[in-house]
Amino acid sequence: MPPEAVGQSAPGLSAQPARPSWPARIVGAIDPLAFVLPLGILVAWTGMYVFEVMPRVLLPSPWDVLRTIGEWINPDWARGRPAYFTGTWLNDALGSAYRALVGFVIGAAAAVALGVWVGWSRTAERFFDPTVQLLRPMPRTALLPFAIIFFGLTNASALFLVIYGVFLQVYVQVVTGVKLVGRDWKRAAAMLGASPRQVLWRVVLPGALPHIFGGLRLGVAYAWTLMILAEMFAVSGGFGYILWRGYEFMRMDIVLGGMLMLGIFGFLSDRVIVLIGRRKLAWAQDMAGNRL
Amino acid sequence: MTALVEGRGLVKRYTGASGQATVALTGVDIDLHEGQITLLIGPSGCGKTTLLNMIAGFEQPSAGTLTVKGEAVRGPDPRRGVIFQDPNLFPWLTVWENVMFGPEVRGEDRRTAEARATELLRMVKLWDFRNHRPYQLSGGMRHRTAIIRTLANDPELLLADEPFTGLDEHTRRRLQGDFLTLVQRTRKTVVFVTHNIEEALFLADRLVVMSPSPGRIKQIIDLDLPRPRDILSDAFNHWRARLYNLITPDVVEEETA
Ligand SMILES: Nc1ncnc2c1ncn2[C@@H]1O[C@H](COP(=O)(O)OP(=O)(O)OP(=O)(O)O)[C@@H](O)[C@H]1O
Ligand SMILES: [Mg+2]
Repeated sequence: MPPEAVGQSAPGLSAQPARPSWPARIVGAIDPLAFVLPLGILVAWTGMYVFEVMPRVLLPSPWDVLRTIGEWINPDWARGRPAYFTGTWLNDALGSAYRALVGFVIGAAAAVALGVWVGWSRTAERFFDPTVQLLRPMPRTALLPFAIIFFGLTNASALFLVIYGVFLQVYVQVVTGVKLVGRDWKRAAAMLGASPRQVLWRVVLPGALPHIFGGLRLGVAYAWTLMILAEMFAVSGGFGYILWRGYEFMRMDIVLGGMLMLGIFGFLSDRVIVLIGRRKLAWAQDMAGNRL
Repeated sequence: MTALVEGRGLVKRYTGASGQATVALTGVDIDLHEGQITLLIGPSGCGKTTLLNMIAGFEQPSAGTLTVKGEAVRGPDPRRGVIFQDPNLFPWLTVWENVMFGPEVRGEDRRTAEARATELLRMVKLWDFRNHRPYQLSGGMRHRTAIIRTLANDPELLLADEPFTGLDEHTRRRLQGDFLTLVQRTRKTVVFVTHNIEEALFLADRLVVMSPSPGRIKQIIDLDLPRPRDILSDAFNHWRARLYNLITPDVVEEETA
């Protein structure tokens, strides 16, 4: 036996070709086609502003919105008119990201844990699933009054709503994924000596990962949605709060700026999940001959 | 001689979702003796895989008894290794990780297991591909990986479902030789399914010829050809003709049915 054959993983991994630096990779990953539609929308928006298709109070120009975002980020860039939102951007961003992402992580973790259990054990399914299915058709937004009464106008209300919504979204996908893991894989593992617990960890979980991944993508978008709702009513701060105040003061530039921020943050968090998925699901992509 | 595996009056009925029943196997009596290589041969759909699945413990017989060392088969067991008809590898693991799966879950000594895995990977010429995942391999390479994943677990009883199907003639011959050497050296009991007459005659201590609709055993032959077997010898050719005549009527019947 060759000495190099002893080790944690397969010995003698051949050297990987050097990866380009990450800025180079990001630039390389930018797809010009992705920009066509957003540019088109921008042009249409500008056109609507220029020709006053809608009153300018209702539809401000793109550069107006950009300036407003500037004021929001840095009060020194403000155009002299004192406003309640100047310079609060960093706090708003951190607050919103905290509520959305912490809520997402907790909700998704709970969904994976319970979903795997329910998908795996018939008894767990009989115990938990009917209740979950009863809660699921209830619009999650309908829980906001309940959350406010329970937790008050606090972060906890927002977190509760996000965790609950994300949980329901991800749970269904996890259960489906676990149930659809191929019987032959489980047989192969059992025949090789895996205990039921080992089959669960080493076969069912990785086998269900494509579905779980789909659930996480739905879940993270949902986290932002519910976070906004909670901020509009229950929290004083964050993108949702600013957006709602903008509406109340009829400042459409602020509303649009808030929407833009939400879009960007939601997009970035989704990208993170996709990047993780691309790495963790290399095998499923090989199998499908496709890329996520 | 007591049998390692004893099947008596085995019947397997499948009921489809719409309620119609298929009798996959009926009235099967079979003994597998320690150290013997038993070949199952018969046309497609005659229940070979079904029989293997019952011995493996994946499926329970609808009637009859099936025992290993006198004990009823209740479920899969690492002492009974299966080489599936489809490679059925874990696609998220590399070749090496697939092969080490069994030894790892059984908590076998790492050095022993790695030495065996290394030797087997070299035997099937997959050592250089150990860090590839299954879908980066050719179909034949996947088959070979699946074969050694089971062998790396060193089972007492080996249930091999057409393991060499889909390999080219040259690789197939070479692997048949390697397989025979390995099995004889480690004194494994083997049940081996094939459609290939030459393969059956080359490997078998005992031939179980099956026939379809419903699946049953047609004839059991103790093959007394001396080893090492020469596939060009007169005695071999004599058996080739005999087995061909035994199987062909069923195949023709199956095709015209
Ligand atoms: N899970 C199942 N449900 C219903 N019918 C089944 C099932 N598995 C097998 N059968 C039926 O049982 C019969 C025997 O199938 P089996 O797979 O054992 O055949 P085989 O001899 O292995 O054939 P082949 O040489 O093509 O692999 C077939 O008629 C098949 O349709
Ligand atoms: Mg078969």
